Amino acid sequence: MNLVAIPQYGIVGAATATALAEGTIMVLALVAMGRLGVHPALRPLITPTAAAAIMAAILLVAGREWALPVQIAGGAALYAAAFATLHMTRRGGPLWSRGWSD
Amino acid sequence: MSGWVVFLSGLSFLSLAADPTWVYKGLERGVSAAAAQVLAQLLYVVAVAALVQTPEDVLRVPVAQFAGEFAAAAALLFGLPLLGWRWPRAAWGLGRRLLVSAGFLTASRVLRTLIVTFDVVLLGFMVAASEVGLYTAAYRFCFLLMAIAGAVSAAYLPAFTRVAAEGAEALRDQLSEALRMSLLIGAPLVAGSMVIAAGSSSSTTFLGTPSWCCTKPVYRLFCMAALRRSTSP
Repeated sequence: MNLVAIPQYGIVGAATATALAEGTIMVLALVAMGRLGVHPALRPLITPTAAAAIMAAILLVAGREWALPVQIAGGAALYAAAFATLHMTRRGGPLWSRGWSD
Repeated sequence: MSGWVVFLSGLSFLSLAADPTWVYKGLERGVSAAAAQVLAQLLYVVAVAALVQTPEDVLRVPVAQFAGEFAAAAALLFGLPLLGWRWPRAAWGLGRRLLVSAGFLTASRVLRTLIVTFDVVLLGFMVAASEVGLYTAAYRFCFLLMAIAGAVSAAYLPAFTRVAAEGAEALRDQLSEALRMSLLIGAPLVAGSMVIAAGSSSSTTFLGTPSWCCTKPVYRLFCMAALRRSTSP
């Protein structure tokens, strides 16, 4: 891929090849796990993914011109708030009353 | 001079060979292993700050690195009896199987390193040196994210070994938990980095060069690669 992509697209082509190679590794690893009879549950991955997406969207829309320390601190606070809210919404009841493993 | 730097850098192989971090990781004593690594880095930084004053002192850098790593390895070695761990008797059959297994892993690591290096080499032939520098800088920045993800994965390895004997269902639960924990840490780091470092104007100030703007797509793609490292089984 590098041989094809780099002459035409330069460093973006090289990075694309790297990202696609990493994606291929992930697919092959999942296939290998499936052959071992192990299929990981995907539902627990929804909350952190959605919380990160919400944080990124808010930072992208509202926080583009913030100073870097504010962006980092704000991003951490946004992620924590989004995660806690989503966790409560999906399971019902406050996070702290049910323990971490719920 | 550079020949001596390479020669002295080879001392790190000695500290690597003596380093029993793998025992601590296998026994799920990650805190001790991490503390030793921090000790090594601290010693290295202090030694470099104290001993390296001029360009002529460059030979002292690999020696300082070796001293820090070896001190940490020695601390971990002396701590092994406290864990009740004794050196096992030689079991050649087991050793041979481990060597074969490690051989495949080593081959894949070497191949991976060659491939990762190959794109930089190829870029060196085909684009300007400044672009190669920006590409490498973006990769180095994302390497931090990948290292965090790798550390989380490594912490789960002994647990996987333990539950593997309990069957596919237990392994599935453990894998799901590991993925959740990795994503819990990795997803905000990757998403936040993509937005902050590649999407806003403050990243230019942070990284100190307006040329960084040209690297934003590269950085985003590397972030995706880092996310893969965070979540892949």
